[in-house]
Amino acid sequence: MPSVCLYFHVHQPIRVKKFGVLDIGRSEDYFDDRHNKTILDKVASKCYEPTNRLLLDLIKRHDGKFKISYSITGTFIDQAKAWRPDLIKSFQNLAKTGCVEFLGETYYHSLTSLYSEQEFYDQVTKHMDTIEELFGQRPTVFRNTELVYFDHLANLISELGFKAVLAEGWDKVLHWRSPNFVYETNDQPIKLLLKNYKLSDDVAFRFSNKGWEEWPLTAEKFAQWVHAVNGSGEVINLFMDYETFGEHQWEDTGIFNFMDKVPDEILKHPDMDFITVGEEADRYPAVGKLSMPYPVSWADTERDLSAWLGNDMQSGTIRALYDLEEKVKKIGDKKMIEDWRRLQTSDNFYYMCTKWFSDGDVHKYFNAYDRPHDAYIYFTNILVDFVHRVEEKLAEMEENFAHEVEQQKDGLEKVLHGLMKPEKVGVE
Amino acid sequence: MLGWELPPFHSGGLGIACSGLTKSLSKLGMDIDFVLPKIYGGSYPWMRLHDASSKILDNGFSHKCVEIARKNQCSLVNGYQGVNLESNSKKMCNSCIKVLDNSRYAHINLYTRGVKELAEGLDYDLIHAHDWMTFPAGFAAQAVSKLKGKEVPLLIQAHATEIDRHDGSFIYHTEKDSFQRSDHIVAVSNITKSTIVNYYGIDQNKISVVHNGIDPREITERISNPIKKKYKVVMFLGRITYQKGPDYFVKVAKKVTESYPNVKFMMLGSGDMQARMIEEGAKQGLTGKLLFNSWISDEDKDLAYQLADVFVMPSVTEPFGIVPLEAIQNGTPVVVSKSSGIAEVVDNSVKVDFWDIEKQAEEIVKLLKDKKYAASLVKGAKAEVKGLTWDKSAKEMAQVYKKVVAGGKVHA
Repeated sequence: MPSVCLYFHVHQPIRVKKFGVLDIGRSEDYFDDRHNKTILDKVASKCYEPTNRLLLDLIKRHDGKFKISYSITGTFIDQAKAWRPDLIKSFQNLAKTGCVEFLGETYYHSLTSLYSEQEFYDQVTKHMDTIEELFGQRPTVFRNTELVYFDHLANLISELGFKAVLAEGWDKVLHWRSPNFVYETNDQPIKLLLKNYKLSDDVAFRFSNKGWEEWPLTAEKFAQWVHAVNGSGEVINLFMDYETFGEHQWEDTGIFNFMDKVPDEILKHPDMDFITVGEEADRYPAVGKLSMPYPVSWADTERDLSAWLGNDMQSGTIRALYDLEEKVKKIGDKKMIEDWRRLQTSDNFYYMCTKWFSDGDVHKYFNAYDRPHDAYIYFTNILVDFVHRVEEKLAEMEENFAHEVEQQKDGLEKVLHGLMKPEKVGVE
Repeated sequence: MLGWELPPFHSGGLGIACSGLTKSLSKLGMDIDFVLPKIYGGSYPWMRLHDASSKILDNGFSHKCVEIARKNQCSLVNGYQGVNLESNSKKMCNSCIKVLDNSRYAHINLYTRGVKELAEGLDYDLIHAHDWMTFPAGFAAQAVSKLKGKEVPLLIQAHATEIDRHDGSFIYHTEKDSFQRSDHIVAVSNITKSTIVNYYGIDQNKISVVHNGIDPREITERISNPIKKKYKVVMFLGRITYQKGPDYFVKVAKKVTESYPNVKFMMLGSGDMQARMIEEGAKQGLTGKLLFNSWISDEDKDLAYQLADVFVMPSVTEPFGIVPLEAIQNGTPVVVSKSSGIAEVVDNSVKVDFWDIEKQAEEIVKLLKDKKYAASLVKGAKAEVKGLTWDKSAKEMAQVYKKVVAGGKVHA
């Protein structure tokens, strides 16, 4: 009896300002609030509001038989809290149905799992705490930024108590194996839930493509494809960006009508049901171990890290940023740490991507700047200002420290002096 | 006088030069009719301004190409290419199609046509045309007066040549033909004069040199930036294109920062080579050391000059080069390419070969380290720049006029 697991990723980056070279040393304001708020409002009305409404309605209509899972980034939550608390409320209403599970991830949608274990723990813990506080459940299933997975990640998350982790069901890793089973990570007793990218991308990418031979995609047809897994798999993991609904696939493509009918059509098959990620991990035993020594992501035709770290602009900036960790943490200034973490958001590096080949169109659509080089210019200028702030603060701390030592030395000398006096008297 | 642009609606040094020169010429009693392709505004009370595009419309030549010329600012290199022709209501005659679709240089033809119409209503003793775009119009104006029975000399001024720009052979031929047929040529520097002699085969006796001037400014205070406590700044400003030598600047940045990590290099401006320079910088590990900014306002330009400890202009060719003068006015020492006009007029500058990375790096480091040396260089350079007034250029230009027009009293 195969189960369908619908998982949505909710994310908005905190985009940086067009920070000029002359802003260096003169402004500590790195983030473009106005622009970010405009985008949040736009996506809220195109996607978050109507999709939340629809899914809440579907959950109610199906009386516990329709379930979904979400990962919501901290950068989304921060912005929604500031400007659109109604969106938080709307997700809370979904959480209250009991048919919604929330996953854990890095708070800042960062690639820190590749750069710093300590920072990774800090961000994931912060995210878990936030999710628990807002939605009353502590995540037990993990998804890494951009679905980046590699064997060692299981070691990292095992200490945080996760029982399962998501990954791309990529052919080059699976070979003859099917993504429609639950696997186990190579090093830990943690389940590996693999995205069925063909069925997921039929909705997320191909739905409105009129050049696609299967266009138009109806709920009936899609349900048939899902039903076809029966007998050759146990789970069908449909993982996608939440913004698929209304933002990547606009309303006029019929995506909402499609989604409205999908649960009914799938449940027509008596053997099928919907489960959340945690339920999947609990219900289905692992059929075997799966190893991915090198990072695999869910992006582009390469399924690697090249969209974020593929060129010198990207690798240069991200390295410079993580090089600051020790200093930033030593200083311990709240605003400074927050700025540093927001700069880690993977989108900042994605905007600098120059591989305009097969995936150029997607990149262009999601770029906040005209050219990848502009993204690099602004980010680098910010980085220079930030490094300067960090160094200034460190110098100040060292000066204060030296001053304290000096004072203590003075005090000590007085004490010593006092101690020596009687001796002198004695000599006389 | 025939020009292409005037500030504040200018894209380069040409507009500034035309404005500065005419203002000072008028003080010498020159009476000037100045023709622009199109007037966007601005106030120039020292001369009469004419709009070539309005004139062609007045004469009932009400065609699509004219309307497009009226509505759109054209690019010097691409003309009206890229302008949306569909959105226009006016009819397309064959000549419109020819002018707009087939010719990259429609803007030149239209300007020439407008000048010709205007010339019929004007009286002048000398035609002074600035750069190749206006040369054909200069000959047209000369022909108009000849029809009226008056021989008027044509003086053409080269602010830059195609040898500096490399935009196309059509331009080179227009220049060469014009240099040959004109009555006299003014070059903005000796280096440009020698270019005209060597690459266009023009007799050097036909060429006078009048260096550009600069409006005097007294900037005594330099606005400080907190990052200067720790970092030195080296600056490049200009179009990021082959002619300006941006690739040499990146190489110098690499060289200097290898031994002096606390130096920031900033490359201000945009251009066809910017993306490549950004990528090259990142590849060389200069992320955070080589900074960029595509656009900069005039006020910010001053701030940038004042932020910089050294200004570098590694141009492969540079007929004059106004930016180092602005840097000097802002109190910044300059390292300039030997192949620039500016090297002829400012002795208190460090003159280098644009290709000599070692030497440039060495000179920059010397200026960064030796404050006394830098200060003395700036002091001397400031005094020199003070002498480079437009009044001085205008006086020299008046001498040239005298040579060209018998009598010397000129209505240009």
